Amino acid sequence: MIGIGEKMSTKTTAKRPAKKIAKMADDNARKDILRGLLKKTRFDKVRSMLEFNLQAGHAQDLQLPDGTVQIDDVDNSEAHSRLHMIIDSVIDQILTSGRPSVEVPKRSSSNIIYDEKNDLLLLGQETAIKAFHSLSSVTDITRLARVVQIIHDLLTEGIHGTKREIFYSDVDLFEEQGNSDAVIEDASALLHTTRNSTNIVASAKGVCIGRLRLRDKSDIIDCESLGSGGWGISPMLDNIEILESDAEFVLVVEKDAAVIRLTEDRWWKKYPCIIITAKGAADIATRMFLRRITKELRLPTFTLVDSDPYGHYIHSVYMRGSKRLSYETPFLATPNIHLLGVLARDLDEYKVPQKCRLKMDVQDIKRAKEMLDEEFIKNNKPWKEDLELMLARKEKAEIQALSQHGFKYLTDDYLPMKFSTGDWI
Amino acid sequence: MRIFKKPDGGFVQILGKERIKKWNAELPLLFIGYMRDNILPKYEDPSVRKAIEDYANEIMEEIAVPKLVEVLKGADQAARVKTSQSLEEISKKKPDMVKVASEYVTQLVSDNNKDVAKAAQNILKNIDRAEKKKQYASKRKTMQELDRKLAKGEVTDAEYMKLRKEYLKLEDEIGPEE
Repeated sequence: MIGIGEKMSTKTTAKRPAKKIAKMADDNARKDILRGLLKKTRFDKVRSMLEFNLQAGHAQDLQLPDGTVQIDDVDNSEAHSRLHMIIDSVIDQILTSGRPSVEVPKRSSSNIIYDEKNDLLLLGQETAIKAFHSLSSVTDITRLARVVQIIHDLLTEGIHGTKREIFYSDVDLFEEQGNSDAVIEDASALLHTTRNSTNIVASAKGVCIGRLRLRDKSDIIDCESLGSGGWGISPMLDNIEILESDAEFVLVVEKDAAVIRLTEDRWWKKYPCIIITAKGAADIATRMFLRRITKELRLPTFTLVDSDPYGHYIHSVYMRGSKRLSYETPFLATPNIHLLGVLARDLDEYKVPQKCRLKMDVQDIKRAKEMLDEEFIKNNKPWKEDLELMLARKEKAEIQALSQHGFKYLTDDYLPMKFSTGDWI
Repeated sequence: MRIFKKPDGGFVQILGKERIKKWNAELPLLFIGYMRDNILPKYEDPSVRKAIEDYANEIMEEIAVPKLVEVLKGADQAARVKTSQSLEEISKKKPDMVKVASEYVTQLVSDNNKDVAKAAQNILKNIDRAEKKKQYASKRKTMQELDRKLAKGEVTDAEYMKLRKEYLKLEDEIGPEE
């Protein structure tokens, strides 16, 4: 591996003593040998993971444990028919009792179940009754009815609406977007479908670059030839189909800045991969798209995040979903994803200088402790150890801290070394 | 996905036929064109190229053509018009892609549905024009050679005039670029 001083060596050779120059030559020779070895052995581990996945055949459909709600990703006509069944039931109640209500699965944390077998956060079977004749729920049910009506219109016309548009369609009723967003999620839970099945989408911020060809309706998109910006992941994923790929793994990167580095190097040309970023916290479309890729292409998947509790949290959301959207977890989570880096132990291993490490603040420490309390971390020894190391040192670092060793250190040294040694969680 | 192993140990995965069968009638044809123009040239190894080309041919024979024929022979007039017009659009840009369906398109020229018949005429016209363009390109090379031979006196005026006339006639039939 190369140190900071070595990067500067070519300019200052004349002033350096002969012994030091000889040492640098040795280091460079070692580095060349190491690079040669990497070329031979690089990604052997990743490739054998892919071979294993491909030989294992199609991924089995997820078997949800008892006591959890089954959610489906359905097509337009199925969503339509589910919606009509709900409305028919409300009409029946009006005619029979005159006091209609609907039963919506609860989305509160008390109803979120950790499925240890599948390593996922799922929605339990507790429900809440929302009645039209109750002062406590009349606002909720009115908003819910309005959203159901909007969903019906969207499905009938075969178009998509954004969460923002839903809010603006009836500002007086929803008052603020937080209210309409919550009701949209209730409506999906009520229909036992993913939100995408209701044709309501959130604006997406994810980007995909690399060895992947897609179809968006009748347009074919080549993610290798869209310039340095890549393909902006569409929130209308029902229009997207994977056509072809010769990628051997997926690299999910937290930071856009790291993606710029990878893009400028056209990293996927050298290392056959698909690079995805949500530019920070993972949005639904990016998570759903990642799941689609890994499920259909059965590619080993890795995350590259900051070495801080928030980075680890982002990885966990890709891996097992967020509590807020637990009812959609089976369609959003990528359980086989690996945390490649930047691990807390990497800071010493890859000689990240002290000046590039930051002190963890109160929030960081709180989040790290909360994460260590989670069952899925307790069950994952290497992950637990890495978080404990981070907490013991109270140090964090961004992916960009690696650029202290040179701008190309991430692409030429760190990532190849991590992949070739299989150093991931 | 259909999986192809590369000699370097890597893999190429291409969408499986079951999914392609669910597409609109004209899409498989577009995909085959994309495979031939963009996917095949990426893979240098002849065995991989052949395997992918064979797969493209399978899609063509088992899905693309039967799907088009099914829709064009069907009773749904709106679908017939849409498919024939989509084919017409493809024939403008990639006439070679629709050539495989020309036998069925020929039968549609006298179709009772005027829109279908018109689209069919245009498709055949585009295929014919593309064919003539190929002939013209080949004849252009011959004419350049002939010009040299004429200058050297290796060809008679009558022979030259005959070939030149054929060449100009072909040029006239192709017409100006749209």
